[in-house]
Amino acid sequence: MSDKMLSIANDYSASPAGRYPADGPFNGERFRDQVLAPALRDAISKKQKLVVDLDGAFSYSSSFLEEAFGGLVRTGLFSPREITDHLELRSNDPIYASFVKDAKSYLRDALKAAAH
Amino acid sequence: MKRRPGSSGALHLISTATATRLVRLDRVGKIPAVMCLDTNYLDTIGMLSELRVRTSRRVTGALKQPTKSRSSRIGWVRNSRDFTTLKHISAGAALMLAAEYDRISSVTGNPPATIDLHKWDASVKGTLAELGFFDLLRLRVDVPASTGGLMIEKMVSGSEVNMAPVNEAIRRLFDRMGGDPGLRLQLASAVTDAVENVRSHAYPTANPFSVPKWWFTGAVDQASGKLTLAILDQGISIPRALPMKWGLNQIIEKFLSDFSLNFDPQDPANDGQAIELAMTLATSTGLSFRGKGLPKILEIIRGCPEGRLRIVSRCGDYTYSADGSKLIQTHAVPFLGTYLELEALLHQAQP
Repeated sequence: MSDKMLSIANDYSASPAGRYPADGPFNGERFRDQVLAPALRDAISKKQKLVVDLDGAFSYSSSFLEEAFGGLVRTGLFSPREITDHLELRSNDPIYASFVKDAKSYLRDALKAAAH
Repeated sequence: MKRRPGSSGALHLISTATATRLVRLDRVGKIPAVMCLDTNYLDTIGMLSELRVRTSRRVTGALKQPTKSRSSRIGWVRNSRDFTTLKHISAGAALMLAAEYDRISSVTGNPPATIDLHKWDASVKGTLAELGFFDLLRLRVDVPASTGGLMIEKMVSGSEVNMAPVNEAIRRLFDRMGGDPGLRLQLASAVTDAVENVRSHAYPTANPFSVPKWWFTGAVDQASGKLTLAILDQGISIPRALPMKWGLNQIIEKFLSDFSLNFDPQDPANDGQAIELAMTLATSTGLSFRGKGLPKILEIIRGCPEGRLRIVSRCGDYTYSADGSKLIQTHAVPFLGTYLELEALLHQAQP
């Protein structure tokens, strides 16, 4: 199956920040609900993998990443199986590697919490 | 002329957004010769706190404006500040000062006046001009561009976590100094975490004499290559926000187990320890998906060349260096809010 690509910097904002809509315009909840979840739903329906690319942004905050990716599990929008089978996070530029690692850890923590 | 007690009869030039004229001064407030947290902490914070307290009472709301003069009589100005004594101001102290003036402008509707601007130290005036201090006062002040000294970005402020203008300011500093893009990304992310903390915790209740905002600036000492990024708020402070975020009982227990100290959010005696606890609480408890911002900032600082984090909140003063060393202090004079400063070396000093 071919991959479906989503770039946070190009498809959402180069300055994503904040957890909730009240925090600011490019918050994690809005990204999750309006950009990430529809793209993942589409990828699942087409039996594709959604690859989220973190390259190109000016900054990432822990609240944004946690709400976007940890929140994907916490809100029950997708089953843990759908997420592990159809979502991939990556960067090509090594300077973004630590943020990919953080986002994966938030996802992992949320999956663990959901399993209990 | 009848002289007022405690005042000088000398004439001074007052500049406001709309006029410049001669006045006499009554009760002139002192400004320290050096405003810098590293070299003159108590005088710097003391002056700023006193300014906050004095301008947070309704009766003093208009004190910085000239008194009305009748016809050609020379008016009096009460409670002005003599900035001609100020010879050095750091980027962080300049941000603190500008934030106070921004607050005064917002709550009174009038930007404060300046006295004897032509006598101000040129480097002080240059630093404040680059920061945008005179824009707040709606004054046009032309100063020569900085060459070889402190290069400071114009202050950015906001209430929401909208980071585009902050990220642009950081990008400009790095572009001008040739800094590493990876370092820029990490530091900009730390600043974003800090601004999110302000948004989430600094202003839990409305106060008619405060503006629920954050202020940011960045600066590079061109001689040493040292970058400073500073964020501040005028909120309730970390020691008072801690129990609201984590619960009073948990903070009391952690304080006792970590420091063998009693915790009372109203008592500033252990504010240094309160900041240290805030830095580690999310990691040590693992109870919540929230509260990862401050520990993340520590992680970022550990990866920065000559990285240093300093947080001043109420009486607490916490410094963490990239080598893992910490300095925890509690001062006698409170900073009324929280100030967070990140430092890193952009490049080695030129021989």
